[in-house]
Amino acid sequence: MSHGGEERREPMRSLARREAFWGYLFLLPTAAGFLIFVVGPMLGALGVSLLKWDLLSPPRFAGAANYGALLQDGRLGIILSNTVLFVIADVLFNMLLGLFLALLLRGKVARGIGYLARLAFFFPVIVSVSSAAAIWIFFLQKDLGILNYYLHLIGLPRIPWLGSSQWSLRSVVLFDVWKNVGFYAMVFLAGLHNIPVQLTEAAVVDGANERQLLRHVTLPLLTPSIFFAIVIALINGFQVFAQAQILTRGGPGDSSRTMVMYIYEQGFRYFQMGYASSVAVMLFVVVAGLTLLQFRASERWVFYQ
Amino acid sequence: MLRRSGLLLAIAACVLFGVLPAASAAAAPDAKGTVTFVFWDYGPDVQKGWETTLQNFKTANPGITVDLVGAQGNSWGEYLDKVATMIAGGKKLDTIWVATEGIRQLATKGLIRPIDDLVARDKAELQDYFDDVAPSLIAGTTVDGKLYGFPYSWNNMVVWYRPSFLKAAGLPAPSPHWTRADFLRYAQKLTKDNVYGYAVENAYFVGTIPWIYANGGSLFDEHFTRATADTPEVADAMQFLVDLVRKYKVAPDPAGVSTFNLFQAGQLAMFGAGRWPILTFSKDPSFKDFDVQVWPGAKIQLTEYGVDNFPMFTSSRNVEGTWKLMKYMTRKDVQGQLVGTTDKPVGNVPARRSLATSPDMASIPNYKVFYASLQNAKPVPAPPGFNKVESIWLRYVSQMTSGEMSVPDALKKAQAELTQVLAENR
Repeated sequence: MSHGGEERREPMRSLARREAFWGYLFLLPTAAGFLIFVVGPMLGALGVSLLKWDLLSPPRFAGAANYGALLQDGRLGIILSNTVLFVIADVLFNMLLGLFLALLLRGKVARGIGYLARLAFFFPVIVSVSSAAAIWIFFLQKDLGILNYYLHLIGLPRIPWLGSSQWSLRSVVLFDVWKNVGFYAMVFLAGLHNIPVQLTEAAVVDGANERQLLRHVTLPLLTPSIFFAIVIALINGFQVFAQAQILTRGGPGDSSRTMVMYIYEQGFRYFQMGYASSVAVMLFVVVAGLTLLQFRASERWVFYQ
Repeated sequence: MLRRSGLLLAIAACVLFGVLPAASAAAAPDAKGTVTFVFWDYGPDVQKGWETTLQNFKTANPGITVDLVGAQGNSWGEYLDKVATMIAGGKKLDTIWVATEGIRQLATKGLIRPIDDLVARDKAELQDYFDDVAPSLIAGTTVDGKLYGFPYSWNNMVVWYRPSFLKAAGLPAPSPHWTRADFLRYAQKLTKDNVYGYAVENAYFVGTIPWIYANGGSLFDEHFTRATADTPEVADAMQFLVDLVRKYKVAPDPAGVSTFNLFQAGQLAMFGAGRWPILTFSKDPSFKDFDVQVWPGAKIQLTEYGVDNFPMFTSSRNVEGTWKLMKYMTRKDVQGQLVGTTDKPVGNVPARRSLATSPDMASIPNYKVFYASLQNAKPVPAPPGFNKVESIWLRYVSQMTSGEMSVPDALKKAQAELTQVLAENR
């Protein structure tokens, strides 16, 4: 009996092995890409962060000196604070405005207008950052920009959007939200369409008004989409580079310089590859830590059907 | 004398028949193999342009293959970053298209080699070139008394202006001896509704250094042994620029200013640049309302220039082939391609005087001003670690022009950081 059982298990094992083989084979392209283009450079950066290397001379082992220098870098605090402020404002506005636009599009809008509106909201997403930012400079220039021209017409003072510490980071947020809010609106719209109609209908039958419907049915069921959008927005926010590089070049001073700009400056302007890598490792730890926290917190507020 | 005349005649004949490389090969060891040439790939037609420039070289030297390697970037600095990455990646290069901003950096690191020995060997062949190039340009490719390359093309800072705007404001064309006070008077008269007299740029080569030079200052001493950003000459020049924006209001806020567009759109009467804006302006054949004048003098009459050339990497495994290519780039017919025509001009000025002052340069009416002002010009201050210097300087310039840091405070801080850069690269 047991002998016969083993005979039956043998083909099963063979099948499982074959399935596993094919499974791994299909995974291979993605896994190889991930290892070569993500894990490899990450480990490389970790290794380089222990070196003193200017690209042009042979590297020297520096131990933890670059990490020690992080603590004494007077600019790093301002730049980290800029980046955190940017991320908070950027995530907040992208989520709120994205949700608002998605709810607007889900409402009773004529089909043609709905399509046009989706196209209009999503169009900035597909335009390259550099081209769009170059155009936005014409909008935002203090003395000759279009935006200030209209503000001036209605009697308001000209705002130094790009040339003052007070406004430069806000301008980068404004641009980034314009550029990306369409993406988040589409994510939320897809999430809204996935909410079962019978649940909303049941709530309406039970006498729920629009606000109650939104608060107790729509938003809870949309939390998986919101969670996904926040994770993506947060990671993208910490990686912000081109927007600020083109609009403000990080200035005035360091007032709109972000962490990735600083990594680029230290690595490719100052040729301090070791120090740049240590800043990159620090940023990685911050982003990974925050993402982990989000996943932990998500167990409390994300509801899957 | 006879010998020299004979030699000149021989060179002239060689140039005429396009066989100079073959002739030089007789004097020098045979050259063959591959020469890897890295260039700044800043646009779609750049590689094509180099292929055209090098066509005759390839024909005359069938044994030498030129491997063109493009490196992209928005500025000379960014281009050098990419080249550094290539070198770090193990790419073997023989020669590089590089401007003054990169020469000292590469020389200090020992990455390029002096060519004085080779020049001495082929002195007779190169005499025609040296006779035709201003000594001040040669200074732009010389580091600590050693020559690293032959000036090929260059640009110095002049003031561009719109003659019709001056006429409407009752101002004559600026004199070659105009001063900073004259300039301010012009800028004030030219500023009116929606038109600014001048545009201050938060920039190094273009925006600030010419004003500092004209004021008798610099960010460093002559041999880059100490930073001099906190001197009264620099402070006065920077205060003048800040005042143009904030006190006199003859220049718009520098953040986000696009000078060429504003100038062409009629919102700007004057700005500073070299010859390169002509590339943009010539795309609109109807736009002819421009001319140039020397940089206004302040304490002295001095402007700034940058020159490009093709130094040889120390690691070059094809010294003779690379040397041949370097000499080829000094030829008059090769540099002649930098002139262009009056309808289709090129953005740089050729190093050879005879070409730079030829009537074909007349797409800019007062074109002679470029070479003429070389006698009062100094290379852009580019110590080793130039990229870092530029970044530091621009960070403080933006704080000065935005009015968020006083000129003395900003210069004090800049001085400390620039001193640190010099120490790091010593």
